[in-house]
Amino acid sequence: MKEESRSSEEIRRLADKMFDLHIDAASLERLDQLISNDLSSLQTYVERISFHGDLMKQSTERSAVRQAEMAMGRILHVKSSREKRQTWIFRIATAVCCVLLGIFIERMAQFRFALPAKIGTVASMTSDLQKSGGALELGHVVRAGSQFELQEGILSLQLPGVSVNLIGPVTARMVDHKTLDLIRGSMHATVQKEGEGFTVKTPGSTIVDLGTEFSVEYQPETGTAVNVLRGRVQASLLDRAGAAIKMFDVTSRRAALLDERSSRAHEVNFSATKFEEVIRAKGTIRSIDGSLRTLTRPPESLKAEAQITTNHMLVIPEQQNVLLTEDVHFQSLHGPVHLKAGTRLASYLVHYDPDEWTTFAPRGAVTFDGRIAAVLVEGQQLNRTDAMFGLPDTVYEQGKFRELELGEDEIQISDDRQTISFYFGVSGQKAIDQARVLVVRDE
Amino acid sequence: MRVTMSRFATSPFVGDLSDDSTRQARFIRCLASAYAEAYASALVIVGNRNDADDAIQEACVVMWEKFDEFEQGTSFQKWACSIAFLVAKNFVRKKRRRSFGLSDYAMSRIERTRTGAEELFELRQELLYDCVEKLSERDRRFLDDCYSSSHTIADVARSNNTNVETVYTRLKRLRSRLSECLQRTLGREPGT
Repeated sequence: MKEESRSSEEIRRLADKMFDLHIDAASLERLDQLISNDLSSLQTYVERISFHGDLMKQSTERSAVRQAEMAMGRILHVKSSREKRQTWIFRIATAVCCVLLGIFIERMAQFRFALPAKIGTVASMTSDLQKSGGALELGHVVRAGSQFELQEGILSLQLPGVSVNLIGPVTARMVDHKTLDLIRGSMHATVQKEGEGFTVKTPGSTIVDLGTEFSVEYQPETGTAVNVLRGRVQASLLDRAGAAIKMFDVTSRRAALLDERSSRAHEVNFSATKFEEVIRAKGTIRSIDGSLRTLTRPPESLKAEAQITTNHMLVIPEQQNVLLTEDVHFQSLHGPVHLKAGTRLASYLVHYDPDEWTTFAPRGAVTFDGRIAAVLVEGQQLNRTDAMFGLPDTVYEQGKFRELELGEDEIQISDDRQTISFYFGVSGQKAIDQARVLVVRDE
Repeated sequence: MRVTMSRFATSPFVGDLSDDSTRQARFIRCLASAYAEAYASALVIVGNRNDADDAIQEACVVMWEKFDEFEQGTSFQKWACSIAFLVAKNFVRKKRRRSFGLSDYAMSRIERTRTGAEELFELRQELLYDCVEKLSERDRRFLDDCYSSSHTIADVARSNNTNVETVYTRLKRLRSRLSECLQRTLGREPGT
């Protein structure tokens, strides 16, 4: 192989690594060197990255054409069986093509100018969240038409009177503050009185909330599964034209499966899996802010260096329904706290364990649905309450160094006692900081 | 349709200017015609799709803010590309502070090369289209899935019931075939 050919091959390989996000520091340095010193390498690099860019562009164009062809295929099929409606089908086909063309242009432009209405905010996300598209931050405004595509993790959206949790892998679109299009995957919603009427649409069904907590899962292969934890929803099975062909109510701890392909809808066994998943990740957290994250699964260990949190903190829901059988005294953040027998508590552990890559001390706040009864920050208190409030399968740190250094770490509680904010410093050999927040339930 | 939560979409600038519909319509027309080239300019500097998506969003915000400074009668595409280059270079500089990235010198050379041979890149784009058309429908679909903004390589692996490594191996083979086809069509010896 000629020298020039070898060099071109190398630069192509490096450019591919760069495009595929596989490049490391040494390879990048080599690439930089070749680009900076060799004209032919420079030309090859620019050609190669442009090659990838061209393939991306073609892929987008072909996908739009393919979608249009599929839509047209479906329309023609209907046409053959309904010849009398030829004129209408043609109009529909034209409309579908126009819509797809609009979608295509929008994808090419990648953003929208006519700003749709604000309908809510991003309330929380788990630390393992993986999504397609641009960066998403806590507090980010959600606008009508926003689409979310998660590969993993749970993303919570707070809408007026509705808390929506998208459970990855999922693709969903917020049509407006009252309507969610579930394209594929699972979602969970808790609906307050003012959010009643919140509607989840899947390709073959419509679920209308009547004041409740429910989950919906849609997979094209199996149809739409609706599980209601409490309250009631109205589920409708739709025909191809979108008209309801079956309509029925699903009540507390019942479930239904709606399959548009077989036009069948029937009751199935209730499954609490999706509710448990959300509770594990969120508990009664209403929203989080700043550099705080939740976890999708309970951690195996919360000992020092077992759960590293570079540049963020974790808030981990622990036991969510602890009923005090006798009066209890705790040494809380601002002094002793007395809790009476009969009080029902939910517990959360705030965990921060930075490593050497941590560049700043993160700040964050968490807002709960209930009132904060106590915040335990002393090592002894934490150790003593692990058994009562901790997760059964999680190993906890027992060293005194897990406690907060109140000179360096800051905690503030809002006047309504529903929001707690943290600022944890990074110093000392064992940098782990933990605090347990006890929240009153069902007040 | 995939709508990303773009920083641009939630930018306060846009809301403030929503009344000025004529200016907005004019900007949309200009940007629609120049977007692909501006995106390519950002991509060639940052080197990957994720960063290019972020950089182009920032670049669009800058274009919108500075639209009044754009001289009518001159090329909007050139103006948009110069902003895309500038924003992408700043993006890499910021990233370099956290991890690693190309040097300023290398980025300047890349910009000069890309802007100096626009027609050649347009020609390559057309020829590449013909090469992709020669692939089987199955390969074309696979390629589209790998390059689609709505799929990750992990998604492609899942939908093909295989692992990520196998997807990359197949992708590498397809890229080589396309590269050879392109070189042959351009009258170059493959591999150079």
